[in-house]
Parts: sequence; structure tokens; C-alpha cells
Amino acid sequence: MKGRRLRLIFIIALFYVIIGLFFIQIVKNKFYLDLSQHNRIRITAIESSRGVIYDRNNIPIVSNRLSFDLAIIPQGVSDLDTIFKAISDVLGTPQKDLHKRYKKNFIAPFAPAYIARDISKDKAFLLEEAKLNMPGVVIQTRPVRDYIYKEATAHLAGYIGEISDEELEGLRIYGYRIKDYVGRTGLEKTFNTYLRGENGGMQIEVNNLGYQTKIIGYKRPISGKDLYLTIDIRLQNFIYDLIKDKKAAVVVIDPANGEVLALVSSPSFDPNIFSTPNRSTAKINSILNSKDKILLNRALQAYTPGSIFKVISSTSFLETQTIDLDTYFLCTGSYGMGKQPFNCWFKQGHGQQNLIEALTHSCNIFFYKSAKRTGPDALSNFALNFGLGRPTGIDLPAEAKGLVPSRHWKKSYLHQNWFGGDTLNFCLGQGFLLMTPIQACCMISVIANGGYAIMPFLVKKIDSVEIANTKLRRIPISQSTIGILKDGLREVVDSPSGTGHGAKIADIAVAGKTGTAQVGDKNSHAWFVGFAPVNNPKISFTVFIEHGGSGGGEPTRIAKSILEKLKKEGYI
Amino acid sequence: MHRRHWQDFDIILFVVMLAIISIGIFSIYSATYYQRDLLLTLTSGTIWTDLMNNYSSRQVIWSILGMCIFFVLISIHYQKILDASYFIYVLNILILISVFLLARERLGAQRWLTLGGFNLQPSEFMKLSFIITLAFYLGKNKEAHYGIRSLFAPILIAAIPFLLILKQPDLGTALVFIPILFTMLYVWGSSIKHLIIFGFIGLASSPILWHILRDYQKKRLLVFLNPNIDPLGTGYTVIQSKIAVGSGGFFGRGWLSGTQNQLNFLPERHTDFIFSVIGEEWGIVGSVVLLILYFVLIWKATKIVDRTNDIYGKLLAAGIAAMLAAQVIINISMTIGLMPVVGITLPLVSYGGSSLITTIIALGILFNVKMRRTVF
Repeated sequence: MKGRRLRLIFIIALFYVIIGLFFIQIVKNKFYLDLSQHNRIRITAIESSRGVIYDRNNIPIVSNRLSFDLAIIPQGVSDLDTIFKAISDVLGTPQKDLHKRYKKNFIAPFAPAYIARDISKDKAFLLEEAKLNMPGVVIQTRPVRDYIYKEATAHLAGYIGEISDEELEGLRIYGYRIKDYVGRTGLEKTFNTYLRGENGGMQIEVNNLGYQTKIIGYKRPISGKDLYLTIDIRLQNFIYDLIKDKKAAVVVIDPANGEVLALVSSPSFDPNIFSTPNRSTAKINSILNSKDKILLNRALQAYTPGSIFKVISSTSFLETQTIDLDTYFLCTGSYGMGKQPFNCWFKQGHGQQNLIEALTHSCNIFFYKSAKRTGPDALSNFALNFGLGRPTGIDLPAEAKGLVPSRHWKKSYLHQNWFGGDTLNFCLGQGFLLMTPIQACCMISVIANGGYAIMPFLVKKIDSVEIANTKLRRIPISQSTIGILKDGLREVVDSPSGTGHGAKIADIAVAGKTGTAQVGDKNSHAWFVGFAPVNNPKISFTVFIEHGGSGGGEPTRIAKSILEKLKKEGYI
Repeated sequence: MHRRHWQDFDIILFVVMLAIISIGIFSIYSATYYQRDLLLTLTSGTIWTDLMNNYSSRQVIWSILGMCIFFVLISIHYQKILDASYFIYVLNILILISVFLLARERLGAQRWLTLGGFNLQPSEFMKLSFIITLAFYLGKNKEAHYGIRSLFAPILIAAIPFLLILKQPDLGTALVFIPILFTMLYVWGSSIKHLIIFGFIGLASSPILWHILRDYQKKRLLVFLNPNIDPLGTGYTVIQSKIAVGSGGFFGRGWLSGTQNQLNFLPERHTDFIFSVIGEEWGIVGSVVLLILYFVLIWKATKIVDRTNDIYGKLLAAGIAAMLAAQVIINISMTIGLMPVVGITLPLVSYGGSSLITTIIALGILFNVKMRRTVF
């Protein structure tokens, strides 16, 4: 009888167990089956190559090279010390360093632990030959980003870095994983999605010690897509050599369609420092923290333009018909406006000038008087028409918009009324106005191409797909105005008294405008924009030197060298 | 021994016992299949060393030894065993104490004594010694009143080995003492009310017990509530075990092909977690078959409790039934996550000489009691 009670208790307990069994063996069978599969399968990634970046002549400027990495597979090694000694003899690295790296990079018994990266090809071959005596040692090849032209294309191409945790949060759903590389600046960033390849992988069966028992699957890595640029690397290199010891930017564009032939910024850096397997934190930090702001792409930064703005001022004068070719103003060297005297840079005064002469000599007084007639609104409107005050839309990140002041703007942002002196400053390209070298190039291209605002671009093809999107926007500028401006700008270079005479070259007619932008106490910014040949423009350009002094000095000399090179390469 | 005795030799029980032992041997073979290969390549290849290095072979040897003892045991009256109970008890306690002094530390616990190349676990024998001793004592004091005070001595008889074993630390084996004690007291005649009171007192003192527990034992209890708080550490075994059993499905993955176990994902799979091998390879069908076999075993034991007139016999059968039932339930529950992990073997199946022989002896006593049922 008592036994019966005991039996009952046992049966209840048994039921508890059987229900538990039913639940996990039947109800959740698939769930546990999946888990048991994943318990014993590990995946190691095989890195893919990023897409190659070519110039307009299919010369690679950013590609991938092979890095030979030395690793040890822990489960295959019997005598670590002998192996370390042998490796140390070949590489010249002290054994204890090898040992330290091995410990630091150990992941699992079946996964390679790296002890040396990017070793020379000779050493790699030596070690490969000696592998028979060193079981467990492997030489793996990995793709490494190679910036072939280093500093010359640094701002153009940008550089890559490992994905950060914040970025990973948002990008994980697109397939990004930890330790993936993403572009940080330049084209590497803008076109990261295309350049990025797809990693392959290997499925490895392991036992509970993590030892590989067999390979189950292999997935081939897929390379990223290639980019074909509008850039001419010979030109790019040539220009970089010209400006590399200065703080400067140069842009060369085809004004007919917006193709960028060269875009150079100095000072520059070697992007390989970021992508090399043996990164030096010291070098990287010196770039990131540089006082000269090496990472800045100066072609996309906004500066006071100075007299190059007179191109737009002139347009506004002519289009509003406040002046014409027969309008003459007297330049005495100074112009009074209220309490503040506004001077011409030529203290003696230019005498009577019309627009063409005023452009040639960059006479301030002429422009003051014209601007007083025209008023600031026209200046603002035309500045906006020419594309100032907003990004040009070039396919690079972090482009500055610049600034176009106006009466409305001043009231809204500075809570002040517009003064007469503001107009005078404005027409000279001083005051609140800000322009980027690329905007300046677009500005001059309007005159070059007969009145169209262009959108500059760098990438014309991805793999085999043409993506060149030539966007032209007609600006309200008449052909006669364009004609007048062409004449005036041509004189700037042609005439011996022209401020841009330093840029004159043989056989080809060049048009341009200098700019010497006052920036307070520091040396003024030096600008020179132009195009050539005048009658059938094939290229337009900006040469900008930060605090470079007079626009008629260094920039015109640099422009001359560039123009000669362009002539040699057959562009003009 | 008379032929009369053989009339009550329970054939079914005997067959069931052998069946369970066989299942154990096959499961151990599968559980140690991979290890066997490694060991074979390492040892120097005499037949003897091959046999000895093979877990399932060793289990066969223990089984044969156990069966010899079994038959010796049933040929003497169990009263003789009871007479020696105090001696056995004290001897066992002394051996337990010597464990602290002499034992090798293995897996973080001192439970084993090494004698001539074999590992002995005195705590396993202690369970049986306790049953025999308590049966003797309670049988002696049968006519005494069943008040609360009558519980003191039994509790003391239980407490000494309980605490010693707990200190090893071996929570599992110690825990089994509790259902054995309760069952034997109940069969003896204690009122259920008293037992419940005693039970509550025990529960109330469990916070004190909590502090006696070592960290890993505490962790095991916590992990029971949520295995995922330590998936690579304490929770690992349970998670792996559940995966193994769960992936068995209806018919299981077949003998020797349980991947969880073949790739060594489950430690202790030839000892405490042997059921996960059975669950994975034979599915719910195999698991239930094994449970039915155990059920028969315990059912028969409780029948002996009812049908034996001798109080000693009743108590022995009750204690043995409780011991087997508790171990089966706790062990299997533990492998599927229904109870916290404690070190406890699955009777007759788990690899281990001490456990196997203890259980066979216990069953021997059971047979003994049934065979010597006085018929009036």
C-alpha cells in the first residue's frame, strides 16, 4: 500500500521528465538540430580586393597589391621554439617579438595566428621553401590597397580605414562586418559601395577544442567594381610637382562637359600609410594632427576670392545694362565713400578706363563706380546663377558651399543693414564673399563654354557602365557679354600691362583673371583662373595659393607651366 | 540457499537489469568512440592495454565483476548483511574521511581514491551503506513511537555522511540522501505530517546550505534558471546537452553518429551526461524505452516493499527504490535542463566502476529480499 504511494510519486516525476523530453526532442527538434550544426561549423573570411581606380587613359592610379603574411596554425605545430628560431633567422625579427605577436594574434586552434605581415617577396619564397621542415607555418597572401601615386592623388582617391562600431551599427544590414574596410575620404568614400568587394569564406568543421577536422565549404571572394576617372594622371603628377611645397590647389576642367582633368591639393600625404599592414601610429597621428591640415582638400574649401570675382561683377554690370563698352570711369587711385576711402591697388590711378581695360588692369575704382550703379542685388543674383554659394556637386565628399552675401542674407544672419561699402567690397570679391577653387573653375567655364554652368565630375565609368552625366545649365548671360568678357580676359594675359601676363604662352591664346584677396593681417590669397584656347576653349583652370601673395605672381607662372604641359599633351 | 529461493528470483527484473547495463555499454562505446582512436594510437598495443584503455571494455569488466558479487550476494540472507551494517557504515565513513587526506584532486573535487590503477568513489558505496544501516536501525526500533523525537537518530545517521560528502564537494550524491531518508522514514511509519515539517525545516535551512556551496555549485544553480548567463562556462554543459538531446528528434541520429558527441562537444558524456548520448542517438523513442526499463525496475522494487512482511526487507527495498528513482529522475532532468546540474550518475548506464557495482549490489539486495520473502 505504501509502495503504491511511492509508485505514484515516481510516476509523476517520470511524467515531468517525459514531457520535458517531448518538448525538446519533438517540439524544438529543428531548433536544436540547427544549433548542433552551428556548434561544429566555423567560418573564416577570405578577403576580397577593392575595385581598381583608373585614369582617363586606363592607367591604374589606385589598385591592390599582394601582402605576404606569415602565420602559424596552432593545431598543426609541435615545436614552437624551433619554428620561431628558424623564422627569426630568415626575417631578422627577434624570437621574443615573434612569440609576443603569436600570443597576441591567437584566435583558435584552427585559425592562423599572424606573426609577420607584408614581408618581402624573397623572404616569403625562402620561408615557403623551408615549410616542409616547419609544419604549421603558412604564408598567406592578402590584398592590400596600393595608392600608386601616393601624395599626388591623395585627396582625390582618399584613403580607407577599418569600419568603426558606430558605422557598423547602421551598415550591418548591408552586409558589412567587423574589420571590413570603408573609404574615409575622397573617391574611396563616395564610391565605397562600388569599390567594396564581397568577402569569400571557408566553412570548417571543428571539434570542441576548436581543432579543424575538415573543410566543408569554400566561397570565392568577389572583387569590387573598378572606377574609370576623367583625370589624366600625367597632368595630375606634373601639377603636384609644381605646387607640392606650398599650400595650394589646382583644378583643370573641360568646360564643355565638366570632366575634371586634374584636381590637386597641397600639402599632401601618402595614403599608403593608412592601408599598409604594418601601420605606424606615429605616422598616422602626425597626419591627423598636422598643423597645416594636410588632410584638407583645399580645392573644395571656401576662401575669399578677390578680383577673380570681377568676372561675375562684369557680367552683372553688362547684363543689367548699367554700363556698356563705351562706359568710361576715371581711376585716380582712390575713391571716397563716406568716411572710408576705397583705393585702387594702383595708387597712381589708371586714368580713364572702360571695362576691357579695367579687367586687364584689374582696376578697382572702375568696379566701385559700376557697382554703385548696379547695386548689390544684381551682384548676388549673378553670383548665384554662376553656381556660387552652393556645392558644385562634384563626386567627392566634404565640399564647402562658399558664401554669397546679399542684403537679405546680411539682415537674416548678421542682423545688420547692407552698407554701401559692402557693395564695393562685394564687387571686388572681398567682404563676406567666399568661393572654392572648384567653384572658381566652374565660374570661368561659363565664359569659356558660351554661357553654361557645368557640374564637374571625376568618375565617368564604373566597370563597363557609363555613368558620365554631363549637366549643363544655361545661364542668363548674352553672347555679347560673353564676347566682351572673352576680349577683356584675353587682354589680361596678352597685354604686357595685363595682371595675368605671366601666363602667356606661345601660339595659344589664353584668357584669365588674377585675384589677390585681402585677408586681414596675413598675406593675401593668390588666385588665377582662366581658359584656353580663347576661340575654342578646351580647358579651364584655377590656380590657388593660400596666402600666396599677388595673383599676378606665382599663380600665373604655375599656370604657364600647366598650359605648356597641356599643349604638349595635345589638349590645347 | 534453497531451490525455494530461486522460485522468487525475478527473471524479468534480472533481464531488465542486464538490458540497462547493455544499453550503458553501447552508449559508452559511442560516447568514447573518438577518444578510443586517439588512445589506441598512443598506447603500446598489447591486448591487455587496449582493453584497459577502452572505456566500454572497462565497463564490461566492471559489469562482470558486479555480476559475480551479485550472485554471491543473493546466496546469503540479507539479514547477515544487516548485521554487519554498523561496521560497514563506520568503515565507509572512515574511508570517506581518508578521501580528504589521500585523494587526488580531479575536476576540482576530491572524490576518488586510487587503488591499483582503479578509481574508487567511496561516496557511491556510502549511499548503500547508509540504506543498510538505516534499515537496520529503523527495523530495530520498529515499535518505538513515531513522534518527532524518533526522527533525530535517523537524521543523524543521514547527516554524517551527508555533510562529509557535501564537503568533498559532491552535491549530487549528497542530495540523493534526502529522498532515501524520507522514503525510508515514510515506509517505517513516520507520519506524513512530521515528514512535511521536517521537510520545511530542511528548506528553511537551505540558505545556510547555500553558503556551504562552492562558487561553481552556486553558479550551476543560477545557470539552471538561465543557462545563457554563462554559455561557455557553467552553462556550456547543459546547453550542449540540450542541443544533443534536442537534435535527436523522434528516432535519433543513429548509434555512433551523434555529431554533438562524436566531435567531443559534450564533456562528461560517458559519465554524468551519458543520457545526452542516448537522447541524441536514439531519439525520444530510445529515451522512452530506457525510461520504461527503469520504471519496471522501480515498480518492482516498490512492489517488494508492499509484499514483504519483514520490516527490514521493506526498508531495504524502499531505500533502494528511492535511490534508483531519485538518480534516474535527477540525472535525466539535468541533461535536458529541467534541474540544475549536480554530479550524479545514471544507474547502470553511466561509466564508473563504483557507481555500477554499488547499483548492482543494491539490486542484489533487492533480489535477495524478494527471494527470501517469508511465506506464511
